[in-house]
Amino acid sequence: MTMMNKPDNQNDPKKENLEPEGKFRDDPTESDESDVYTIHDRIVSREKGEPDEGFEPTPWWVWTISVLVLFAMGFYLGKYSGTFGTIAHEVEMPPRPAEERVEREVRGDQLYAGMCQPCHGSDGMGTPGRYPPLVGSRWVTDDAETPARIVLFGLEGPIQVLGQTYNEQMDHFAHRLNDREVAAVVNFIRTSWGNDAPEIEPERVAELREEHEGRGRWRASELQALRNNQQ
Amino acid sequence: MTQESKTNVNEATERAKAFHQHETMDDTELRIKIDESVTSQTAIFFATSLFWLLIGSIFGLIASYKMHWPDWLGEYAVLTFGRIRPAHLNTVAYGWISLAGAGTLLWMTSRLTRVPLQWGWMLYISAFLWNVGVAFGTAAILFGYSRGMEWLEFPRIAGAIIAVGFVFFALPILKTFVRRKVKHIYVSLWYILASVVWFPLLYLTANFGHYQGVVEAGMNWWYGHNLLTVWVTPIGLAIAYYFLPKVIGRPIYSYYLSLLGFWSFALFYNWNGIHHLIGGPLPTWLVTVSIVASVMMVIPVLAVAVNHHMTTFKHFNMLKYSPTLRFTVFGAMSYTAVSLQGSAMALRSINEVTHFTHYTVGHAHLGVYAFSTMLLFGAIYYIMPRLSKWEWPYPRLVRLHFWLTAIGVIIYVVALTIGGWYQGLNMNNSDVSFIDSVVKTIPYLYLRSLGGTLMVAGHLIFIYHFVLMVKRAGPRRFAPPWFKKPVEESAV
Repeated sequence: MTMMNKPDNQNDPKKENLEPEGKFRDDPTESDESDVYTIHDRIVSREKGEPDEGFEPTPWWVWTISVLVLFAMGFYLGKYSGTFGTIAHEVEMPPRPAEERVEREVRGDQLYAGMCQPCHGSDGMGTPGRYPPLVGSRWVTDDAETPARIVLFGLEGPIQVLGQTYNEQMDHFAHRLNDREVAAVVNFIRTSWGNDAPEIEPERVAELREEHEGRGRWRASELQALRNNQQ
Repeated sequence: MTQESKTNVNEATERAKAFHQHETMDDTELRIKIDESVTSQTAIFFATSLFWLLIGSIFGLIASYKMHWPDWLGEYAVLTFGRIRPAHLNTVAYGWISLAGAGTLLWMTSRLTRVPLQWGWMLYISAFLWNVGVAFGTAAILFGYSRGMEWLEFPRIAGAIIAVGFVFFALPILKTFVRRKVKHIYVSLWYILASVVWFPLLYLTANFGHYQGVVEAGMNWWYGHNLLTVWVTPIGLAIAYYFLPKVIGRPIYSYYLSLLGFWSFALFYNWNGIHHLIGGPLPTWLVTVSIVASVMMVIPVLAVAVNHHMTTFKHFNMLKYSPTLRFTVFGAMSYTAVSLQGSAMALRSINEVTHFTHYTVGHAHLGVYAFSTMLLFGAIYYIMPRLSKWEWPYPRLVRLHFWLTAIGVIIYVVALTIGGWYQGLNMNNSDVSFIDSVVKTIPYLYLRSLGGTLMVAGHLIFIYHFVLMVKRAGPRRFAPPWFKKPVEESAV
């Protein structure tokens, strides 16, 4: 019977251990096997019940501190999260406004390589007989508005470039490039491969975009008329 | 208002009474039956965990000596710092803490559900696979096949072996829980069940996902810190919640605090990892969110600390004679300390001093040693007599073990905290050359080795005592190995 050796006051460790036999008793008279069971019986019967929970209310100051921490860290989150963008920046420096960041990232040469190079070539010499060169072309280098207009709305029909006539279609980019990107790519072709013309501002591109909004591809004659008007 | 609160108090008293009544259903026979159902499994987990504790702490000691004697043992590639140090971390984390924790969780689950362990045979497979995984992974690290990510140095195949081992550990726990004979689920079981479900998700995601570059670094620390969230800390808290009331013989102070502590823990802790990458190339908001969550950890920590303190309050004199309680209280107090320290360290202004210094190492040992390991020692002291049916033969050795490890870890943590702080200030000071900032840490590194040596001495004593216990050697005792004779009631 396992309960045999259970002390009466088993739930009180202090009293239990004041029993005369309680402390480190060596008793060589009992056999080893029964010892083991006696010992185990005592071990498990002296222990307290499995732990339980009391229902004291949470102290008010625990709630107070919790709410204060929540507010403080909510403030911290708002203050140091910038725009929730992907950029890693120093928290002391306010993140730059989005417009400025975009400008830093836009590169005319990369846009050219992706969108213009297949036809106009990496050297700006075009494709003989089909697509006109940009190098030395007065359509490109005279006034900045003309190439900007072409990039925005495309071009079709015959056009004379450096004594050759070309008759192909160029796609419009108004829906793919923003004003900064159009300006960047126009400035790139106007200043590369020996071309050396003044740059166009994104604001001017925005004006042109608004002025001709909704139109289809240009024809060379229309562009020529606009150029004549400006002069 | 007053009327209402009065009703609440009465209700609370009624509920508390109802709970204590069912305690009387506990009887010695059921306990014996439960203990016998887990005996060999828990003992295997404990014994192998102590093997890894021995190996792991020797690795740690070698690494610590190398900090001030850099050429010592440097002629063998296997024993260089870059291999010994991760070997230390992995053997103590996946060998010692995990296996000892697993053994403790098994025993506690059976006791708390009031049913003998179910599907116990699976645990032999679990212990086998787990040990094979840790042994294989450690060998791989020592011979130069580390994955090179902190906490994830084991090759994937070792990770796979451990993961399968964990499944064979989790299933018996879940099955036993399903068969439970209790209506109310005690707070320790919440943590046990949560970790059993969370850990596999974490471990599989980290070991078998594909990550590159910045994302890999983010994943690395998401995993590193969450290993504490889903495994090391729940083990520690389950032990503290179980053994404080168990040894003292009083219910835990407040069910409501337990609730607040558990759910805020579950909500906030898993966001913490990215605070290891403050100043790194991750999106700033991600780091900020992590810092916010780290500071929010104040809430669960406060709830747990108040709950434990109010339970133990008025019973602190029991520390004088109960070995389990002494280790448990030391661990529970360290939990409060390490968590509040961690919340502070997550703040950018403090982190820029402490990051990349010995301060962080001190913090890690305050957590995994002073909190987790000390609680595991306490649990093993309580559980082993019920498995081996034998009292701990020499209370003197228990006392020696406690003081060596407690003083050792205090020296260790205090030395590295002070030394690391100055190291950080020096590193941030452009007038101090880098080598000067290193040289100035040397006295603290000697202290660290002193602390480490004391801890390892404590481990050797504990392991010796454990072997005696398993062999049922030493004097036959018919009473617990109190440190001293308990005092009378009037003196409480």
